Amino acid sequence: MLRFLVARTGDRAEAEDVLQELWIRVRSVDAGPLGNGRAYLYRAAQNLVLDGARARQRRTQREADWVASGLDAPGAAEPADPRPDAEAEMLAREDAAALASAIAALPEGAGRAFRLHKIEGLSHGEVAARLGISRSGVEKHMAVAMAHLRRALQD
Amino acid sequence: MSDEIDDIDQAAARWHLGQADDAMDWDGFTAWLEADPRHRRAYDSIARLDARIAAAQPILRQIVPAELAEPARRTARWGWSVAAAAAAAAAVAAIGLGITQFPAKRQDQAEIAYRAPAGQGRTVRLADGSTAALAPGSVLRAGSSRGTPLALEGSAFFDVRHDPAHPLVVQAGGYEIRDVGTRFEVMSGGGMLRVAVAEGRVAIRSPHVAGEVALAAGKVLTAYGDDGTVEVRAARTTATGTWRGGRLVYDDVPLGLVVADIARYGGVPVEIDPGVARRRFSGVIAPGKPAAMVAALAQLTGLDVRTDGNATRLGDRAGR
Repeated sequence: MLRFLVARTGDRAEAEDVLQELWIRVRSVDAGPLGNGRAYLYRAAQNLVLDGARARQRRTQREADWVASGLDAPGAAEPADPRPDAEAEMLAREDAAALASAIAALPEGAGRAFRLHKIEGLSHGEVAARLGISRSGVEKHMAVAMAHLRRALQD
Repeated sequence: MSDEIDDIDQAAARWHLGQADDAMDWDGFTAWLEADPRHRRAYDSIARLDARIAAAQPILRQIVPAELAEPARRTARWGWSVAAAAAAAAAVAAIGLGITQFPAKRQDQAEIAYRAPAGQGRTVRLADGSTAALAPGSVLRAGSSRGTPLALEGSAFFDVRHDPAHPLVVQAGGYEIRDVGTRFEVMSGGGMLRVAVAEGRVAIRSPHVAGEVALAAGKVLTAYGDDGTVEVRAARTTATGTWRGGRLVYDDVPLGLVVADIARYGGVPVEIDPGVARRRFSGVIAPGKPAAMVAALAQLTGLDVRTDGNATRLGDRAGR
């Protein structure tokens, strides 16, 4: 697990932190029959890594916003946002519009498979049935779609 | 050169999309990540992109035309190919026009309501990858991430993605069911709640008392809103969702919930006398017209059917 986390994060210190966190969380879940315990553990680890990355991203964004607001009005007290939910919602819609734009530009087959799976929520098997292709065909379409989207939406 | 990068991205996407499988080769994935720093960066990008897409899914559903949408609530049921062809034509036109604009009408929250039409169940995939099979006539409201509680009106069977870091919360009839990754059924109606766990464990909170009840696999909890009481029993069968397979199958379920199911299924008001609502029912109700379903239930339980205003009402035979 530690080897996986180091490979995933590229940072031994971060990997050890995640492992620590994983251990704490898994111990506190009094789970019944888990089925595939190893897979469960790896998926939980993946989520923690993602959470860490997102938290860092938000922190960097907050710091950038703070600095920017300071530059605009040095010395002024930061006004409390009267409608933080409205702003969050607007940002969410802008983000979705950017995604939708990139999704619209996907190649035809990949785009169809992507929309059915990721937006409509069909499983790979259901998408295969709808499009009259094999499951591995669907998996190929999904890989192509994600690769395209990554390039179009470079973080 | 860009082909090579594309290959790496596609490989990263394949690893990412294969994670949910129990057969996922985690050791192979580790080796691939270690092989080249570009692999790790590509994977990280893809994982974040996927999370971003999942978070935006409720809004994307509104603004991206569904070219092969499920049949809408129409009285005439079109064949799949007719509906698809019509929708595809509309979608091609819409893509050119509307996709990059905000929809003219705003919703107050980035929330989506999933409805199962009368007489027809519906399975939906939530933003975090969990699925909910809704009973006919039920409604599930979901936010854009697992952190927002789901609000259920009616009955649903949940298959929740394992994520110990983020519990999923379902609110139904004032109660709250909390889960980190299990399979369970919720039936809500007539002031009652029934939760049956097929796999794993859930925690249930009542509006009437402090504290939580933990419910493990193979157990069924029934809560009565009118007096705040709760019963936990061992289940005789594995919970799968009473309406799946097209019939309504009940194992030891209070009549109040059965009647609520039939009412929701048919989209018509059906009631039951409070004195009989807690009687337990085990049996199968074949789907059909609401009147026939109520008559079948009455026959199986030895109860009477009357009309009460514009509602149908089940009760004890007069004189008993």
